[in-house]
Amino acid sequence: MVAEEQIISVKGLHKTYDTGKVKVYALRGIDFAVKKGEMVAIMGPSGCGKTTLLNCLAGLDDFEQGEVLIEGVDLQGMSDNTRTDYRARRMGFVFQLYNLLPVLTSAENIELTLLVSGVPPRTARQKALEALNMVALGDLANRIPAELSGGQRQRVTIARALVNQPAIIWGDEPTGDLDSETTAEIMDLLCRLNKENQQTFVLVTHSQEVAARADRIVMMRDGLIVGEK
Amino acid sequence: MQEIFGLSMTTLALVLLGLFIAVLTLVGVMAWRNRIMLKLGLRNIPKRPAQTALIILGLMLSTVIITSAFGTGDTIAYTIRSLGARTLGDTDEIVSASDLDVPGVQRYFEYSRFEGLLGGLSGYDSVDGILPCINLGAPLVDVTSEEYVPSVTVFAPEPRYYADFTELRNDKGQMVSLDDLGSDGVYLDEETARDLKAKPGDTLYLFLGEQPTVLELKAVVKDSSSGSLSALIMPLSRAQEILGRSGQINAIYVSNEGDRVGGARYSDEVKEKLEGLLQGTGLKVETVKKDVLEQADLAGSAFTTIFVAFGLFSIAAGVLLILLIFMMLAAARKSEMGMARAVGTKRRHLIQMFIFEGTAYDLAAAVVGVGLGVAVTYAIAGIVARIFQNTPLDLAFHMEPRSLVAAFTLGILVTFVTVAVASWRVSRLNIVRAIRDIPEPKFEKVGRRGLILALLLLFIGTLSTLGGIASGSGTSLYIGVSLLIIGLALLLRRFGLRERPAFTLAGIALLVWTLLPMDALDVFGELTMGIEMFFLSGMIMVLGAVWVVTNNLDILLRILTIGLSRLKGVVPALRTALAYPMQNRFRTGLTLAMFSLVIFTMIFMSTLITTTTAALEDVESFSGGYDIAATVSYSNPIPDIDAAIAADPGLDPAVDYVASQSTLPLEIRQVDASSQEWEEYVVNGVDETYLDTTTFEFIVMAEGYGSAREIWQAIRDNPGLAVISAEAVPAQNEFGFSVGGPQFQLEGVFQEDETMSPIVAVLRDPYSGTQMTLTIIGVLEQISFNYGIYTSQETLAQTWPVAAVPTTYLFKLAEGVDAKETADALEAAFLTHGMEAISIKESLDEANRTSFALNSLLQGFMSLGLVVGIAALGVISTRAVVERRHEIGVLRAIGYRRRTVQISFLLESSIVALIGILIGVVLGLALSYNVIDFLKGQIEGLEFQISWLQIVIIVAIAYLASLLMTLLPAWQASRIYPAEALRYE
Repeated sequence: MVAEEQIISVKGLHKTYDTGKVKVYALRGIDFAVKKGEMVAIMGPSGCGKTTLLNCLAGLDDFEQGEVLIEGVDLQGMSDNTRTDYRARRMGFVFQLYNLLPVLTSAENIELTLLVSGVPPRTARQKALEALNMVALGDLANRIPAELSGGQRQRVTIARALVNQPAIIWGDEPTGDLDSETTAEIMDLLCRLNKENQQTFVLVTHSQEVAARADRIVMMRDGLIVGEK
Repeated sequence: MQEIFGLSMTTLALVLLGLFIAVLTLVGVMAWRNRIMLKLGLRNIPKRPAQTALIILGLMLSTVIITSAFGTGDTIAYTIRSLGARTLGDTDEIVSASDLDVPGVQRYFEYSRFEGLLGGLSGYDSVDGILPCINLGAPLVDVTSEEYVPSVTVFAPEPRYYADFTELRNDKGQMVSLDDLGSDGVYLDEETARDLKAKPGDTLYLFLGEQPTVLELKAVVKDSSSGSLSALIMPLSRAQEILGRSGQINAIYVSNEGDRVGGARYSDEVKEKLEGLLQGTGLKVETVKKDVLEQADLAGSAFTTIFVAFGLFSIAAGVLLILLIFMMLAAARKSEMGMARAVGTKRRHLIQMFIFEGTAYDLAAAVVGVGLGVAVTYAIAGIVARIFQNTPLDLAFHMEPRSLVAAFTLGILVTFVTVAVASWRVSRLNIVRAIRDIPEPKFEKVGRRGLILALLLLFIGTLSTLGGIASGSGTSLYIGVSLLIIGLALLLRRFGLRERPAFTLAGIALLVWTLLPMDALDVFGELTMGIEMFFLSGMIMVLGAVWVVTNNLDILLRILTIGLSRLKGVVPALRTALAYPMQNRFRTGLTLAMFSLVIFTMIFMSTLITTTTAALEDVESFSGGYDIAATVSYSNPIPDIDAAIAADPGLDPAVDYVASQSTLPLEIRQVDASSQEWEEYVVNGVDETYLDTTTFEFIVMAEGYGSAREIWQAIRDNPGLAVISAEAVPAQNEFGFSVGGPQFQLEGVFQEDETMSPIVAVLRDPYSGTQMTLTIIGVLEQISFNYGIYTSQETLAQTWPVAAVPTTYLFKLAEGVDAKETADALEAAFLTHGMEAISIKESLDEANRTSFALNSLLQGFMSLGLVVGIAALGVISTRAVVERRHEIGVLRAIGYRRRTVQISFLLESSIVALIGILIGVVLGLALSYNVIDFLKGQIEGLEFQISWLQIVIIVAIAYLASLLMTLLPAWQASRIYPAEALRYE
């Protein structure tokens, strides 16, 4: 079931990379909206601006022109600290590579998100273990990432992204490094969590299998949204 | 400085230069044959200028230490050599009938002895001048300026030979002659004229007896070749007239062919010639110039040895830094190296690539290091000059070109060898793991290579241990047992024992072994140990401690987490700050070792300085219970000092009693010694007051004597008994340095012994041949200023009546009387006798200040090593910002604020630095406790003391410097833009 209110609202978003010698117009006026609880896939060829769009929406990058409201809040107007705190409490991230800190165990990686939000260490550890159980990795709490398979690492990343019960989960090629069987498992998990928790998912992907599982697909090309399905 | 560690400096410089050229040629040939690898190696240098600067900073330290150690030795040697040349001028040998080191003792002989010598040297080319003279000390007063000096050297050469012997010039540079002096004219050297504020025309009173001789100062001169810095020059005939010594002289000066320094190379040959001509006359030949030059070189070598020995820890830390840097460079280029190997690059090409890069750093670091080393030497020379500003030593910076060559090449070679080993080590990689950046697997068991290494260590360790016990070498034993422990740990690993227990146990065993009290080693029999033990035990100790800590880092950090987790805002930063050092244990261990090594030496020195300074403040032990020590001129001794004091209304109430001492230069040999050669020595005859009142203690007493008082009483009551100063008794464990000093050493007793059997020695007057036998029943404490054999004046006077004339007095003052003022009053009262009096406490305080200043200088020198530890943290932090760029992006994305990232970096450096510093402090205190506990047996009153303030200062400076080094990388890490970092791979 999809909720009606918009959780993400984007109007006239422009982003330019200026290296001094060359200007790259990464986003040329994006208008975009996501409803609460929706799972949206953003697709397009390499260099079309998908990751840039995701970074701007998540408050990881600045933009020159336009408006981005997350839960009705303008992130661009916040200070860096406020924006960072907002990310810690209200957002989760699933990246393609190097998601986890290689020097921490699975449980320690997950509890980091809670610790930065001020959750006491003991409570954070408990919640981290619960999150690991949720992704069926409860017995791998003390393994470091080098001791996990690709799929297991991605599950841990998902557990970390969800442990603080964020409103939005951002995924940049969440299954990009995985085989098809593992991809299917991960997508089953994400869809289940989307349905159970009514959390909003925005996924950047090249994969048709991933896109097919989304409620909506947004197509991008050359810094513009060119279609939806 | 001619020699270092027994090697000629010239030979050392040439050998090192040869090795340097060989290495450079080898690297050059490799580079020419493989220019691609050369480019690959060198291209990395300008890429990261901050990192390059840090690497050069860390690598240059060895060269700085070696250069400044050599430079300090050169400066000291040059200063003493210059002083000798200035004082002795053209004089190379002195012929006399007495030991001129004992002031005030002169024996006269007939002028005809000189004429005989002159005839014998006719046609002898190695000697270009010979000069008969009288030479003695006497007090001098300038009536015009109303100033006086208690003792000036009256130098009275024969004018017709003097003009050929040396060129005497006045202070305007014009030549002057003794013939210009007239009947009562004299010259004064510049130093004496300055002390007296004297000018030509001044009236002078010279006291060669009770009544003064009135003289007139004709000119101030320099380069008199008198053999003294404080000289009054008059013609021989005038001195003979004043002294009533017509037809007599007391010295013959000889000048060799060549300049003032070069002439010394003929000294041995000339001495042999002169002794041949003087046989049977009782006259001695002293090669004074050669001795001074040798003393200069010895002093220079001693300083260099001390600085190098203490600097070795910093050099070792520098070697570890090179290993660390190369490990980090290799880690950064792992996938690049893996791909290079995959496409066909051989392993030796990777080694070459690192060697090229390392050599470039090495050369740059050596150039910077030599430059900084020269600057440090200049600073040290300035500080030492200020310390000795009240002495004739006119310290001036000096550096021999060969020392610069040796330092430059040695610094390069030490670094190059380490670079080569590190390059070989880091080039060993698995291609697939490197390309895919998969971490190396952990091995539960040690492989075949490890087994071979373990067996080798056990074999060498066994040989060294047994060899050490058999030969009595403490060094061999120490190394042997340490190797056995390490080998055993590796062997246990081979048979399945896990890493943590194996290396923790090995580390604890090494610590226990190195921290054993020195007495505990007595179970292995009598062992000799030298200064190298300090370096060895320090290195092994630090290795043991670092092993224990790095293998249990998780426990330590868990404790820290519990402790610091109450600080809520810090918890996330703490989590990452602790995780990285734990995962990179080898890197962490290297950094801990670097900090520990340097802090360990600084704390050790600090504690030693504090303890010895406190001991030297023990005036009682130093003074023997007296307040003032005074000497008088032998030419005008005091007939009855007690009566003289009693007759002086100012001095009588101030002085409780006076003890006296006479000194004779004699020769000595021990009756049952292996060598029956006569050695020059000094015998002191002390009066009954001395024997009844002195509180000087002994470190060794003959069996049957229970206290120092019993020994002194025995000497008073039994003629023929004596005691000896500690320098003449060998120590089993030499931790100190002595420059020159007495050659005579007793056999059959060591300073560490509890008791001794009485030792019989024979004394001989080389002039008359008269002998006497003494029985030595005690060894005086080192802390006092005593030197020579001490017996009763009554004993000595039985054979040598001249011994009844004391030239040294020791005054005990009444309660509350100021010693310095009374010393000045004594000098004024006994001016005509040339009395020079000092407050013993003041003299001790001055010695303390000098010792403290020199030790602090050494401590400051050792703190140079901190640069290494700080550079290490800087390199790690700078590297970490690059290595963890993507991870920092992830952290920022999930909610780490900029400040949290910054705090995480600072915490990480702080924890590593503080643990390393703590290890250094604990080990430094532990080893200094052991050493001081051992030295207590030789120095009474020595008690282990800690200057907590000094320790706090050292810790604070080390920690704050480390923190400063990490500030910039931490700030850089916090400014990383999340979006850019997340794209970074």
